[in-house]
Amino acid sequence: MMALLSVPYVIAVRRRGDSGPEAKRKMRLYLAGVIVLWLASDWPLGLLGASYLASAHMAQFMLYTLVAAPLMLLGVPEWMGRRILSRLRAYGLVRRLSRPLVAAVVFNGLLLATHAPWTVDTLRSNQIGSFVMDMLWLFSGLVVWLPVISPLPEFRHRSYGVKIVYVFLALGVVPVLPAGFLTFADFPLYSTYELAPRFYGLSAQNDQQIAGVIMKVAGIPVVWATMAVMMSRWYHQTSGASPAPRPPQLIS
Amino acid sequence: MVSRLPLVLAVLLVLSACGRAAAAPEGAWAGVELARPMAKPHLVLTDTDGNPYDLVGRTAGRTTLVYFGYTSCTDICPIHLAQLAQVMARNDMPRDIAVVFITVDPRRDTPEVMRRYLDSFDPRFVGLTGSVAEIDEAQRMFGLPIARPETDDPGVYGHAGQVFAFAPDGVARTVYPYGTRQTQWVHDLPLLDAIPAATTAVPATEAGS
Repeated sequence: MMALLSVPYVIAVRRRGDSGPEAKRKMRLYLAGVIVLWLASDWPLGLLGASYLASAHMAQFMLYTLVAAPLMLLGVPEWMGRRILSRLRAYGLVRRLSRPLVAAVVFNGLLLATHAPWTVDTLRSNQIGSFVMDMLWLFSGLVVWLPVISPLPEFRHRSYGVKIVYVFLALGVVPVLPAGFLTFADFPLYSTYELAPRFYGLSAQNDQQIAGVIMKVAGIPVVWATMAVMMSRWYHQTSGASPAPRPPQLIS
Repeated sequence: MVSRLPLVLAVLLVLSACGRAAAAPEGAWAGVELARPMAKPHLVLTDTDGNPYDLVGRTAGRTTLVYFGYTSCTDICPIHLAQLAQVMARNDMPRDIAVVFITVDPRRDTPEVMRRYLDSFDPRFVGLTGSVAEIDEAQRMFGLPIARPETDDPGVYGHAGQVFAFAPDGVARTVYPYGTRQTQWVHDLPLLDAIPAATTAVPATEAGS
């Protein structure tokens, strides 16, 4: 799967003969995203998340949606994004998905659906189901970041203010609700993790509470860092000043 | 209104008594109902202190959960015991429930090994062992197939996976197979514990008959 995601990318960039610093930077970002995807899917986190720990399941979700997906999006050059959408005839669909309200609803809808007890217990009971869940997470992660860092500039929302509010609400506020259910539930919600052999004596209830805390807290650095970068860009845009020296361009 | 108060109280009393007597009408259990309720078997094994443990005598009048397993088990046994430990740690659960773990691997499960194992879940759990013949007989008394090591892996035992739940009256009406969730335990344990010790309402068959 990882080869399927990375080899065509590298071949396409090489064929284009694009070896400038921007292309290299994008390739590093993309491959970093693929590596995070691999770390979140393979042993040990993949195994723990699939069969043993709700907290590992949640860590996987956060890595997929808040780290791997944005890194991959940042790593896709515009020409590649256009070519992919053209081949898939998905330009119109992705354009609609990149509207902030639609993206927020899709992401949080999938978040709720893929953390509902029935879904988790059904999909986690077999490898195909687990794979489907991973793909849904990756898809929702890509969608939720589209209005902010889409490779295609016309898909990004133009207003920094809207983007800041969007990131805060879609990624920072709504997920707190299911996180609260996990943290304060009276019983383990997922039979998959409740009826798994205990991992280093961690009870199913405590494991679920950790999962809730991860969902609530782990996204904070990503959300607030993203908002801070966008505020900085917004300030420099409105003041007419050139931005201060900056780290690799994360937010377009 | 005042003159009616004794009547109202009497009605409430009768209703609450009915509720108690019918603490768990048929179909009300979250566990698996036995076709024929089973009396607690009269067996005496050795506890983790090396002393004789008379199951009926030591657990008389208490809700008692009996499970056959072994300490090297990697899946069903630790899950059952972890579930019970977590349920029993809840404040809304009856305090005086006896959990009795009977080993099916008495050669390896010495009293010390069992005590260490059970303490990792809940120090109140009782561990029982005995000779191979005694353990086999205990399983027969519960109507279970005799657990035997698997042919391709002698360290692994195929054994019954259900927990027998005896109410304070010494009768098991339900069993709890592997996969029983904490919500099911929390639903049933107070109902079981509410059955009075002296009731004779439920006809119990002799264990293993």
